[in-house]
Amino acid sequence: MQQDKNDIENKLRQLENQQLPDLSQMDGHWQAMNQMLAPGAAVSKPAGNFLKVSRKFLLFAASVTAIIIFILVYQNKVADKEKQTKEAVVIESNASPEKKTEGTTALTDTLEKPAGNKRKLTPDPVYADVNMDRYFKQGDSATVAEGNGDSADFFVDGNDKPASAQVVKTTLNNFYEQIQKQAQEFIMNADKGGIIKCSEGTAFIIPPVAFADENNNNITGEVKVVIVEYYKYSDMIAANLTTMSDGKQLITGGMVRITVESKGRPVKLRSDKFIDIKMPTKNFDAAMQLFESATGTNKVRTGYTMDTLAGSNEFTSARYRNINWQLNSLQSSIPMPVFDGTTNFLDMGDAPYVVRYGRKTVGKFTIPSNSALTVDEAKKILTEKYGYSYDKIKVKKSGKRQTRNNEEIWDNMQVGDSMRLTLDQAIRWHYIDRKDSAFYAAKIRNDSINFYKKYYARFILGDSLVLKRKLFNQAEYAFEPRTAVLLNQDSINKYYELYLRTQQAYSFRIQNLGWINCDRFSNYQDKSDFIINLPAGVNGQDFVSQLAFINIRSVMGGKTYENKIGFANVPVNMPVYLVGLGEKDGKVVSFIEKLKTGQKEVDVTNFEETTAEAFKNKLAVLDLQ
Amino acid sequence: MSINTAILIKGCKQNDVLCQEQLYKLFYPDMIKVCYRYANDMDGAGMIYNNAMLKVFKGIDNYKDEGKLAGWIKTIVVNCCIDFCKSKNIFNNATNIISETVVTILPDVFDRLSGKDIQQLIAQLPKATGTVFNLYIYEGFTHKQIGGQLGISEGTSKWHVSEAKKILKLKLENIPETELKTNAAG
Repeated sequence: MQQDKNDIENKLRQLENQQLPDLSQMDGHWQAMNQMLAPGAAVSKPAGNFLKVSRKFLLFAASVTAIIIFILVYQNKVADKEKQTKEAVVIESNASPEKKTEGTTALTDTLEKPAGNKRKLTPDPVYADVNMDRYFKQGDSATVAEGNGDSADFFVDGNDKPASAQVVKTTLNNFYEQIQKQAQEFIMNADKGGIIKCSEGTAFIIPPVAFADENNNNITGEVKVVIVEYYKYSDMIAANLTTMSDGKQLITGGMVRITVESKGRPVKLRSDKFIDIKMPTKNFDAAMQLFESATGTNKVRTGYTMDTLAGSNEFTSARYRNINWQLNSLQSSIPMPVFDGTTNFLDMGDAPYVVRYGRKTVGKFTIPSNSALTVDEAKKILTEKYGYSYDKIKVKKSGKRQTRNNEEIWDNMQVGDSMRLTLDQAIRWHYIDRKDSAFYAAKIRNDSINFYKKYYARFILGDSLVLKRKLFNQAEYAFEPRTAVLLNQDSINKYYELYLRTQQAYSFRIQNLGWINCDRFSNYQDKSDFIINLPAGVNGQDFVSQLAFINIRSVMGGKTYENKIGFANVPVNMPVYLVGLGEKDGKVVSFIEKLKTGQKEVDVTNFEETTAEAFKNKLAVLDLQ
Repeated sequence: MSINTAILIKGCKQNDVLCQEQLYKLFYPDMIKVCYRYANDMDGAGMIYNNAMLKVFKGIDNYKDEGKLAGWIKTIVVNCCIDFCKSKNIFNNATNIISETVVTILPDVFDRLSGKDIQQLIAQLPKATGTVFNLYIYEGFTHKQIGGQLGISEGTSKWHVSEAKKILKLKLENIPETELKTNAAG
């Protein structure tokens, strides 16, 4: 058998060697290669008509370069003139105190209304004495990162911008695209729901029939769940994410983005459904809360999720990403009880509650009153499935479910979204399979059971917190047997803390897809503003800059003005990494510096030309802290 | 290494365009075949080869392992082919498949085929399957290496190869006799 296999493979190789190559296009390909070897030429990209596109591109590149050179020369001339005029003003102001006052007034005007080339020629401002508010209240071109993320806002006065600004946009956009973290994609059956566990530990528990399209029609069949996890500094900075909410600093426990597509179209979470999410942590902090993207939420709610929809600029490029995180007021900071190992599954396998025999056999089914499916949808599914057994199928919705001791009684005769199974059962009965990421589910179940075996805490009975024990395994009890009875407040607090320490994940319930951030507000009181001075001639708008704190997990975004980058309300005496990425002389440059906050201004000159790979390697250092 | 190749390398290190052209054309016949296997059209193959040769010319200063120039260039070309396939995202939705079925094709069948016939049949395979098949059969990668390069499991790689053989077998059985060896010279 092995011999046959080798023979076949050898035969294939022989045939391949015998085949003569197609040399008809060798000269054409060499011409393209020759152009690529020319200085400044780009690497070839796939295209239908390769040679034509390359030539056109080169012509275009040559004309753009010529324009840039012309503008740079022109700018230099203007700058020289400005310098001469400035010197003249300084000399004049020294000579006359009245004119000096006039100069100061003009300075204020300049800061508040920068107007490109048309601005007044005044002395350069002394930033050490300038109120930082001026930086952060610039509504126009001064606040690149503060805009709503739309590139149109960045280039609001685009007509006055040199052509090089457009080049910067493209170069940095491309660079950001190269360093983006790859999304994880899961295929699942929307009818059944399922559990997804991602590579860095985030778990999503998705109920059956949870998604709807923009017209609120239920989504059935396969859907693609796309998830990106941001727990490391390197990932956050590469995605240009910061942890700020209305200008206030947040400390994060991690960020996640979840989007769902059906047949290539984005879908939304149904208004009556929710997804349970668990975000892993090694240091549980009970103060963590759920934050969502203020700008993204509405888009998600209307069914137009990010990235997939043309025109939603704020999501198409990380370069312009600037999420203002908003607290989800519906979420309490108290973590939910642990996942109990069971979940709802859509069941279409149950028998009808009655079968009428006669000239025609009629199967009558009931579905729960709150089923995600309509009667018609359920009827369609049942007809497809059991059409061969019954001449006619009738479906009706049952009355409200009965409850006993606040626990729902599940009617075995119901079909459709009526089953509550353990994960083992669900897997065994093929309600979920490997494709639904079910193999992760078993792990969650085991984790959950192990947790139960150690500690068990549940929040019930109105105002008071009662800790209960679960009798799984006496040997593994951490609590003394007495504690199962009534506890005083101190004991409750003690055991609650003990319970929290055992938590290795934050649990939230989300009602929208999109950006999710697990954060708490920073409570540092001693703060000051912090300015980065870039070298003269470098435009701050060409840079994206962030402060990554070493002792706490928090990232602040910088705001730019001329050749400066400002950070407002920065906690002092904190070790931080200052990370900058930008464009200088047509090349992507970066700087990473370890600093201590509290200084008013810092000069940064050590730009290094960088590649995507080199920058990622540099960022990896931040994860080691 | 022949004297001619040594001269070409020296010239390329000095950015001599004539030497670059000679080197480019020297390896073109062999390498364009490799590129064609993954691109399935001459435009794509040319693009892959050009990107690979750009890397060669940029990195030729670091080339010291004399005598193995062809191997070095082929490694770069194959890596560019893999990058090309990755850029097409053909392995993004791949699921882990571990079962491998043994497919037997009688070697006699190949006597009726030309290299071009086989190439056409391989080009009709699903993209991911064709890529794995090419890497395994023609580039001599092991399943472990393929898995590492493409981010798939070893089992999945084996499955792709066996699936490719299965499809090829079906196609070979259904090709009319008259269509075979249409262009035996390539």
